[in-house]
Amino acid sequence: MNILLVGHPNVGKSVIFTQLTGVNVIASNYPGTTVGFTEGEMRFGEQTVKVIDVPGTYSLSTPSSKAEEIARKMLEEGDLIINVIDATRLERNLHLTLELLEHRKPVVVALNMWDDAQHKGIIIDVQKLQGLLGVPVIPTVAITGEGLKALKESLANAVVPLHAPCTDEQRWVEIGRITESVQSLHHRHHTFWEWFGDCCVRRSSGIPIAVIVLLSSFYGIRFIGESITTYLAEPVFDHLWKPLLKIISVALGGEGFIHQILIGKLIGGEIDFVQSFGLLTTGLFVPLAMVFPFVFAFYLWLGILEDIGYLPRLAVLLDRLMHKLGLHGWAIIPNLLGLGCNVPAILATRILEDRRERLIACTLVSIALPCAALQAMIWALVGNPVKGGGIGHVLIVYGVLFISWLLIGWLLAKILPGTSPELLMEIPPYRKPYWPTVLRNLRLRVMGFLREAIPIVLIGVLAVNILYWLKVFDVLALITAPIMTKLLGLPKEAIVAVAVGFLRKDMAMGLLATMDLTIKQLVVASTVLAMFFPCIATFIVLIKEIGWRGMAFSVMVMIIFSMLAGGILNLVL
Amino acid sequence: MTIQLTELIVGQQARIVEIAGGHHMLVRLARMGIHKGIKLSMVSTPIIRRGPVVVSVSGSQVAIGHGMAIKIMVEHLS
Repeated sequence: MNILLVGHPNVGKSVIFTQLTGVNVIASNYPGTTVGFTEGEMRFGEQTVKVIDVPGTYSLSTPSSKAEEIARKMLEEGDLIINVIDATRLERNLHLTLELLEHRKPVVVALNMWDDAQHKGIIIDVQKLQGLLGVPVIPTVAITGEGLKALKESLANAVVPLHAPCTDEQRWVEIGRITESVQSLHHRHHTFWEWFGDCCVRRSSGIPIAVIVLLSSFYGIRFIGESITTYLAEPVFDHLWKPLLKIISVALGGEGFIHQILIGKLIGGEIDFVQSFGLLTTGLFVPLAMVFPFVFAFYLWLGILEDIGYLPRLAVLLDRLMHKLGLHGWAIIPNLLGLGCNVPAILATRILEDRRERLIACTLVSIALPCAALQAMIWALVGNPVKGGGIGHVLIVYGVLFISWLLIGWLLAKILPGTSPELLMEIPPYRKPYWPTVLRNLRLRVMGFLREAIPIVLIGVLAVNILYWLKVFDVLALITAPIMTKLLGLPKEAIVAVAVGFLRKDMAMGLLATMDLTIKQLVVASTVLAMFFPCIATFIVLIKEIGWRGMAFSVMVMIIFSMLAGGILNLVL
Repeated sequence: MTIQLTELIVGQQARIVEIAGGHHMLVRLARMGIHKGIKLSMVSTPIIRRGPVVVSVSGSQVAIGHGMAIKIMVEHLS
């Protein structure tokens, strides 16, 4: 038996899903977090049933995005529907409910955010609503688990409703009648959060608030990331791990094939976690000590912004700018996610309405947005004073990427036929961060990073060492030497880093660290690496989401712009 | 008097009298609970010219892009 959780975006379906099944999924305070579907299992009486978290949809009649299309298809596979509705927005939510009631499948309604409704002075007569709809209605507060038990028990009483199909207009009339008779509103004053929420989209205060939020994000993330690296990760590696490795290194005789693979090259007779490039040295140090702290800090920060509901307000502010790039304001959300990891960012483009928009957004994300792992390495290498770098050099890389982002978007908007759709999005209310959700999202994302990054980095380090040993890279370097040396001003071995970038870009940066480049070369190389071919994980989702043709198009834009940016930087620096 | 949605000032209430758009646009708006006859109030006007407006409609806030907002005709309620 399949139980479907269906409802508008951002009503708490994912939270109810987690409560029912124990399967953790990311939930946030803006519409469109669930763009694929997640399945879990739940005990229901004697049997185990499947529960499916369906992407949010406003209506069943005409899907207007990929996420809604998925939702509509999935409805056919359900045996029972839990319709999750937001008690604070009963009137608008009921439209989908009425559509579901015409579907000839048993329905139970979860009247979620029940506590919010009470705080807002909205009183709903549940018994009466139940009578009018003809199906069980259960008030719930998903994040605390209130009402979930009653919801589970009500599933046994779910009945197929007797609603005749009707037109949109008839539905709105009926909704008016229902809300009139079950809902009463008590007047109350605006809360601080409501006032502040309005300030974030108002003419005078919106932009200053956005600047403060973005600047504090930038410095906040760096501060948290660097603190973890300096005070936790580095001491652990230096004082606990290194002595152990020294013993192994001596036991292996300090050189040879096995030593090369496990420990790597000794730098001045010493193990160097950045430059040695062995499995147990750089292979662990890069993902755990250099990248992990930054990824952790980024997702903590993003999680808080998500949960309080700031991102949709940023989308309103940036709508005009995004229109110039062939997108609309909402597209800022996948773009921001791209600064964490390109894979979820590309999946998140499913909230956009048409193919043209998705192609532009996917191309922009994969070319111009460095993921958190890559950014961590850029900060570590380009911002390293020992090599003559600093914040100024890091800002050059970010600046070039930002200009490319604007330029590529603008060009694609001109070239690709069609127009960008208008922004139309619901803005969720502000709320205080709910820490259990913030921390659960953080854990899911960080664990996802560790599970994916560490094996690939280790395989990559192993492969690089073997290929070096076999002298395969010498041949490759010889072929691409003209581009590397003449156009980009890099040593011809730098092609190895570009090739490794296809596996993981943070590891490719790690490889650049072993090459003794000047600061100018580091700036050029990291910019090219950021823009050139996406890593394999991104590559696979890109093909899935925009197809081979879209992918071929993106790759063409990618090659042209990365060479252009690298070449120009090489000339002017 | 009928005016465009974009002409309302912050805090004003109005009722939609006409949506001068194609079928696709009507459907998109209706899904967000915005249709002929419904009451709404203006939360914020664009920060820069031709930016989106934010309105409050049946208990929630919705951002509407400029191109769409100018096609929504409303009458001002005092």
